[in-house]
Amino acid sequence: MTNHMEKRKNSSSNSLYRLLGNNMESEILFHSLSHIVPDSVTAADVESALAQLTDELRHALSDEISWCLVQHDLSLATTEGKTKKRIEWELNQGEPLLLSSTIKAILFSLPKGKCLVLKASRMYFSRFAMQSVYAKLLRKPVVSLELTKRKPSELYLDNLKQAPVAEVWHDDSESVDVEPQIRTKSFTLPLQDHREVLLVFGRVLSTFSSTNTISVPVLFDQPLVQDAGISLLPTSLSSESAISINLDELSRFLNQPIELDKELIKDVVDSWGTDSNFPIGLVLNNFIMDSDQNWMASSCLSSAGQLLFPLTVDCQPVSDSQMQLTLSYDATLFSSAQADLLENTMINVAADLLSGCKGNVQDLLMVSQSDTKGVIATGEQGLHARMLHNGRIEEKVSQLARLQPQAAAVKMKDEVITYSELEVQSDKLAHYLIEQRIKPGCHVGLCLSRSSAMITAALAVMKVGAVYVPIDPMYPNDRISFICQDADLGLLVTDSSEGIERVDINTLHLDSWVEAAHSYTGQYKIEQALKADAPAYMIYTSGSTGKPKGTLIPHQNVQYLIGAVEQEFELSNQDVWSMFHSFSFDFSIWEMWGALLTGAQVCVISYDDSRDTKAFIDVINKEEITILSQTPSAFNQLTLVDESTPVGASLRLVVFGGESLNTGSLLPWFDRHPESQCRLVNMFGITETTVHVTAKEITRLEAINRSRSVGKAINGWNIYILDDEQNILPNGIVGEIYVSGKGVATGYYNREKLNEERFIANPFGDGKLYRSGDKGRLLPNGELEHLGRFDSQVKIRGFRIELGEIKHQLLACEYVQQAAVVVRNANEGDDASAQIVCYVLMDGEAYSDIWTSLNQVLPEFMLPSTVYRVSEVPLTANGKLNEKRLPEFVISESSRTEQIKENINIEVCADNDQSTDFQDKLLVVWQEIFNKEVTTQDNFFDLGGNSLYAIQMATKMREFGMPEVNLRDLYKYQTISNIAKLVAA
Amino acid sequence: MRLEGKVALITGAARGLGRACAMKFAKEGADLILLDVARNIENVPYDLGSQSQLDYTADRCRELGAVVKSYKADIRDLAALAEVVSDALAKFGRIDVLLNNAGIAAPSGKILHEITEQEWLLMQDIDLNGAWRMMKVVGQFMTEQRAGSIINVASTAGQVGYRNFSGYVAAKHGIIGLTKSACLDYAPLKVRVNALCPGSVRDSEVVEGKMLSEIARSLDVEISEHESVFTQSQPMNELVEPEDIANAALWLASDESVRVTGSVITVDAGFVSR
Repeated sequence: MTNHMEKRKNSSSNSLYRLLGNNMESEILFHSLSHIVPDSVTAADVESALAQLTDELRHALSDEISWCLVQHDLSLATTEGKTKKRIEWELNQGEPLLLSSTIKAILFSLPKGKCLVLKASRMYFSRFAMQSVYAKLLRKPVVSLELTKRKPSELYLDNLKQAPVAEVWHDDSESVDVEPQIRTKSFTLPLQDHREVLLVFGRVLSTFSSTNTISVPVLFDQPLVQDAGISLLPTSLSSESAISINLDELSRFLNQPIELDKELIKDVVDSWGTDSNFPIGLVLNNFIMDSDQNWMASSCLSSAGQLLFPLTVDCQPVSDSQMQLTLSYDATLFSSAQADLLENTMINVAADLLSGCKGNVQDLLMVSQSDTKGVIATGEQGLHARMLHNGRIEEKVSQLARLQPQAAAVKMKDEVITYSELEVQSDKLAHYLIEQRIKPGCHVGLCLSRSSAMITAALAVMKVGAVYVPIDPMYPNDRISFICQDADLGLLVTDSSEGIERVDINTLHLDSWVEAAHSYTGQYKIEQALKADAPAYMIYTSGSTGKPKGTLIPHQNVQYLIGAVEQEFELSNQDVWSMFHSFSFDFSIWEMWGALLTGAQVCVISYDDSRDTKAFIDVINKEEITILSQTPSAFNQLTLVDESTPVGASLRLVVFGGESLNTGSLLPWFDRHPESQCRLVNMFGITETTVHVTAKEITRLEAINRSRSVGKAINGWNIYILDDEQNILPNGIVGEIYVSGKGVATGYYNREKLNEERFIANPFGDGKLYRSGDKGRLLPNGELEHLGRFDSQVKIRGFRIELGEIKHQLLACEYVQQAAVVVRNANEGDDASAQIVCYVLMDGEAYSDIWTSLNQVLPEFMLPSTVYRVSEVPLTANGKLNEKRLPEFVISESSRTEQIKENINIEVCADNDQSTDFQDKLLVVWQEIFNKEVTTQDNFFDLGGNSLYAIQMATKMREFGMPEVNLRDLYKYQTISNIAKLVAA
Repeated sequence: MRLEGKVALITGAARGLGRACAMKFAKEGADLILLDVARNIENVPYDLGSQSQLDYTADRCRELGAVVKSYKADIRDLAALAEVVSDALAKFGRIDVLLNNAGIAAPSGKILHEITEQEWLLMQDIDLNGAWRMMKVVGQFMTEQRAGSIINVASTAGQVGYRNFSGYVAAKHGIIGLTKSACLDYAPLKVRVNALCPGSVRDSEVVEGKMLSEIARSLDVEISEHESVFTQSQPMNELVEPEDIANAALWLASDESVRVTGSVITVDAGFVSR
């Protein structure tokens, strides 16, 4: 028999039917249906369908199968002192021994080969869609309003299977002796059975009404069946609307008087007394009709003394003016803190309602005025703000140059610059800037590759009171041009060897600057006093409307940032910081100025070393780096390589930032680097609030618990979780994260409207409140749980990307009519394998033009891995992208385990003689990766290429000893012959 | 609080059964001396407990109210162990319970004559000699104290044989013999010595157990199926939980088992009874 049945392992615990194996000689088919879902009729139909099924099985298997229905109420088992978890576990083990002894006896007496059907009647196992169950099992919904002709004891049994109620008595006084805490009453309703009339489907519970109207909760808007004026409406456990059934009308319809015996009802209510729960007054239940004409009604339920549901609120009138609410909860599922929270919230809402609130539901205050302060306080650390230095960044660095002139400040490979050298050099550069009439407040673009010079340049810019705007030289020209224009740069400094193409901007080559500044000595002169609240830098981030935007951050914010963590992280001038991240990402602000403001060293990591993890670890060890800042994705790589090339003992602090951290993945790192030697701190941050907002120490405990907490706000920063109306939400409720305090930026440059939307007046204190667009909630201990975004901004391996920007650029292509951009993980569940996938609706054949055009405007990390052509971009009813209906993202088997690298960049090797040889080899490579015939004129993208293919190509080229080709060049040149020409050049 | 006022020394305490017992003892009022090698050992083909895991165990025990001192030491180094015990005694003043739990499961998985001498000696040195060394150092003190309970974690492999596991089986059988002999040595001195034999214990995430999957690997059992393979071999069709072993150890450690000595307590879901 076992072969024909599903393996237990494969069925989820939510399924209606499960086969529980055990080592007894029968299988147990476990059929799980909440008592509240089927009524007697439908339940009977389910059972008969099941009987039929087992019958067919028996014939198929020619085994002796009999079918036995056992009623089982798990509540009996729970009273034996077992927890719900234990029961579930036992059932999952196929262990029926927890059942009452009667049932045990039945089970053990089953001869071999019998199939037993167990029916459980607790809600614990009832999470499934009603519709599909009935749709599958029943062909025709059955109807009958009420009643049965069963004997009292049978009625009792029926009631028993609905709920743990007992103590029945009837007029014919055949009382059944049961446990005292359960009570029902029965009374008669004269009715005639009409099978065709279905008013309700399933069980209907209605509270007592003193009128002739019964309120029936409705799940669906439309009836399932509409036939000759009769509607079939299923019931539900919770509903948003209800229909009223007027008994008068019903009786007219049925041609039969229906009356509630009001006297009897009153008796029932009275007899329960005021210490009972608010009664469910009436149960409409479908029973199997009998031919006899004596009808009896099934009736009322009471939940006294039993916890029927994991969370229950009972309401009962205590007096004419008082209602008592009792909250009962399963302590294994809800903590007392959560229960308190719920209780308080209910009280607040009730108070609000009772005070005559006439507005919308959304306006109801969940947090009372007095509680608000407490809630706010959990997120506020603003009182503890501390500046590292009360002044501008360059002032502190100058001060350090006087205190420790010979100390190393900046290192890169073999180059070492001391604090005094840094000071002298930046002074010279500042001189020159003044000569060039760079005034305070001026924006100076620094489009420089990684070097110590970029730090010196930044200092020089700040010294003259200007604002430095770091621009990654690897950005495409269009983007650089845009930033130059948008930022109103007074000067653009570049170290590029290419011709400088921009005309409208005053451009200066770094080498020229250095040379010209060489002869300056002595102090330069600034005309006005420079302030610490003036902007220090402006960093551009992806913009959802298609273009990036610049955020201005004042000097003092950075002072507060380092001041906030200086003591906690024990920062000292003995530290060696790595600067791993691009100058144009604000993580580098933390890396550079964290070091230089504390008199420590910053070690600039070369681009190559940042892409080669082993080389990077070698640098960490050689330079004895003590403080490492990493995105979790990069750290994963580090952890892998650390196995063979261990990170040395100098590393004492790792700061995570840029994307969410999967704490569970840190266990192997902890095993090799105990927390007592190397601290790990996770920091959540936003560019607009100066790099970091919160900090959380991560230990093995957090890793084992897979904690998602990002910690409390750092000193000087405040977090608030607000709803759409900007009301405070209670701790534990998800809302939008707002940040105030010392880190809030001056604003976006040249984006008035956006500033109005995002940097709003702070109702909780001074300054501005920044609206982050991030989802999160505050835990009672003040720690923040970050839960993603409300919009389409994403983080991919630490890079902040507005999908809207990519979409805009797609739409900007001539032939693209519609576009959609989503993020998909190549390896399920692995965020590090996230890729940008685009879908376009286009006319014409110029598919590869899209790539060319994207390549021109988007930085590498925003280039999509694939662009699919589709015949329609599916939308929801609201006109939004219907992601679910996009064609599936297909990954070829061979690339399934590859991660996208940010680029594949090694020096292009120029070797003329090898150009034909190169072409031939490349042809072979392409033929292998595309698995088809290829010519040298074929376009990479038209062949179906994307970044995954690019990685495969690079791998194979390396294997063949071929010179490597930059991803951007591949995207630009696109055919083998063009690439070969490039390589030859 | 069944171990109120008692000081317990547990070896192999970083994870697995060691952690489970440590936390159980802490909950029952004991103060703890935790010992682990806290690094990988050459020629042992799998990762052993780490410093981070040892610190984690110590922290959880402190949260449960215990005073805890943890030590990093190799069970093969008598001098180091003597130092640890001496230091611990100086701090705690007494040791009432010794739980010899440190042990390795591999290198294993070979037919007898293919085992190298080095592998054989390593297994004996850690799994058998380790327990003897601890008993030597602590037993000396306990007998002077005229009180104490020594619990040696053996295995069902100390009662029956397992194919391709001769080193491990021999060592574990040795533990039981050692236990009985020590029982006779120490009985007049009021120190009890008992052996505890776990069957197949589930690798629990909470205590970061690794034994079962390592045994599976050695026996060439498919890792993804190893739990069901071992489950089926135990008559109750269940794996033993670390909690079960901790409960047995607790009883042996407490005064409730005051006249239990030289016993072999088996917690194996019925395995050796087949």
